[in-house]
Amino acid sequence: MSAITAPPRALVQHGIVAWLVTTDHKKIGILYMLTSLAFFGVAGFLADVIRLQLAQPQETIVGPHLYDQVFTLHGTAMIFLFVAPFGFGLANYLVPLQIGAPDMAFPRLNAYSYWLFLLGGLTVFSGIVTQGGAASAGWYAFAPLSDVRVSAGTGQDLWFIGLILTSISGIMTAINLLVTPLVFRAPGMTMWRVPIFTWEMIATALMILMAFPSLTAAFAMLLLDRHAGAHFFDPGAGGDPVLYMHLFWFFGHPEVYIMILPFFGVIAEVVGVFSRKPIFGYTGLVLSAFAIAGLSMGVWAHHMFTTGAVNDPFFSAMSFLIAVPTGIKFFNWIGTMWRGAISFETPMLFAIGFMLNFLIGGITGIIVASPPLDFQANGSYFLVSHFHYTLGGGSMFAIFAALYFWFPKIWGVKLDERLGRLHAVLMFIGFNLTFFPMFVLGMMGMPRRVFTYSASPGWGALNLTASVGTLLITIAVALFVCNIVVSSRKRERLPDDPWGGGFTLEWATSSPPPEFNFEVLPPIRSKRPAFDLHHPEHAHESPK
Amino acid sequence: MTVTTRLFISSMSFGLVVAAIYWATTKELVGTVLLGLFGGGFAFVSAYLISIRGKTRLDGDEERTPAELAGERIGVFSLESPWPVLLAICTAALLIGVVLHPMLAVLAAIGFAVTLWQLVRESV
Repeated sequence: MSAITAPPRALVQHGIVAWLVTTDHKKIGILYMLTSLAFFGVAGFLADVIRLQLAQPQETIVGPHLYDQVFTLHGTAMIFLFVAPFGFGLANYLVPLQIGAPDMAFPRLNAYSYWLFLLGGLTVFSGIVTQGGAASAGWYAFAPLSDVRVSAGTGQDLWFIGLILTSISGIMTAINLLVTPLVFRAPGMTMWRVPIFTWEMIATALMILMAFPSLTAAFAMLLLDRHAGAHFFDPGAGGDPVLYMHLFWFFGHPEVYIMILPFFGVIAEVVGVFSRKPIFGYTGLVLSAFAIAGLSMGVWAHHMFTTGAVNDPFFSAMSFLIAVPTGIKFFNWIGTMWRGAISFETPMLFAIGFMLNFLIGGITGIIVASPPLDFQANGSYFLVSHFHYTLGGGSMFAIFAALYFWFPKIWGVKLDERLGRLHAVLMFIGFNLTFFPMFVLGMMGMPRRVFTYSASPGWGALNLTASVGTLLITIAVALFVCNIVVSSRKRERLPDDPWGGGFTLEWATSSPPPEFNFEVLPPIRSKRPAFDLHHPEHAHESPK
Repeated sequence: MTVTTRLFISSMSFGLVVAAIYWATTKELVGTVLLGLFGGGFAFVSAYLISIRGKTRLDGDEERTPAELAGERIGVFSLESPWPVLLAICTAALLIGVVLHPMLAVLAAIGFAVTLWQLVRESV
């Protein structure tokens, strides 16, 4: 089935109403990205509060109950409202463009998904204004910590409701992201020519469809426990809190890959363009994405080793296995760079930062996949550092790589390179200054989620270092905002391919693209149709 | 067999094999059911794709160019609709109402039904 063009229809609405009623995938993608970045701003502010509170022993900036709310909302916003939704937004914008389609398969469903996500996020945060404050049971809301006896406030209810809404939104987004590339590709865009980013989104969509219903069910059951007298997770009445952990982590671990696979795709695209070489090992990259997706469905209980209620060898073996396809991806990225004409523009700097950080996150992931070591690390700052290296040093760096890389396409404005490079370097230093000391703190025994600590264990200097690092990250993000403001004032007409070596079809249309994406689609005869169009003299070098 | 069909069949097989290994090694019911659903969901899609084989070109056509198919009608893509945002508001209100305020739930359910009806009318 092929997509070439679509019947043009005159736009009726203008201004803010046009954004409220839009079903255009590009506008919805922009809305997703802006909303998720707004939640990132809030979550970043909450991270600053956490680091201020922990900068010195016996600090009293926030009390224990407020601290619980702060870290709960920080984790919730980063996991559910920033990283994964930014990937959805980027995919919304790029997938139809990359496969030569005029829009997503189900545009109205797409709009509905976005608004549910926004309302879900606002519902989560609306708990702040309720009596008793926002949710405070952590981002996994384990039972019985989240049951009505311990967390009685309306804030916890709103947290569950908001996340059920975002979960439904995610499932519907996944349907669109799966169907669109499978049935709406342009003539010539065979499955084995589909760009890596789009392949990663297909794998991500499959994971969402398998994992998110489990989360929705778990939260619905908890709400029934809280309000309808059910006892699914109440051990006093025959319920089982470990059942909640199974349901939550059956979502929770694939979610880690839902938050990283889209950005593996980003890195592949960026590394290829700035190494001036075709992507090395295309088939390996595609198959490794599906291997990761499949294996990720069978590793959930490595988060539950310390319960003593799961089969350690099974989950440990499955967790170790995931390192293999992830290693293949590293091999392919390095292979792409090998003997390439590498240039260090801002997206490439962020991509290299991603690889370095994610490598540390991955290696420490192997450590915590080993039950004896996990028993030592599980409740400590070692774990905090590990998952921040994968999701902060990994996904967040890839998000900035994507922002710098596709900003000219989306807004028709190229961001300032000097400010961008400063942003990348400052962020890399700040990130490692923040999170590397946490490995040491974890090994020294500092438990996670404590609102303060005494001076005697000697954790003060490392905590202060981490807090200084967070300040650097904040300054780096502020630089990014300044960059947008400064660069937007120097608006000039950009060519279709502002980087001069783009591979995929989005670089074969105007910046920004018109309604329904393409005035004319170029012939698609290889994995690099836009490169073939702009560099016909090298078209024979493109992999078919 | 198309790449798409192979994709779903291999995912299904993987899910079912892992579910079987999991049950054999743990005898734990919750995880087995979840992994079984993982394989079973893909089995559902695989069966559909096998049933429509030959009727579609899901893998695309390597040799055709966009110009050859210019003008082919592939469906109507709406650029705007007021109903998705209204339906989302009603969905959120319905869920909040069910948990916290029954009257809100009733009003939201009515709004949800009306909006959904309008959305369906607009779509067909």
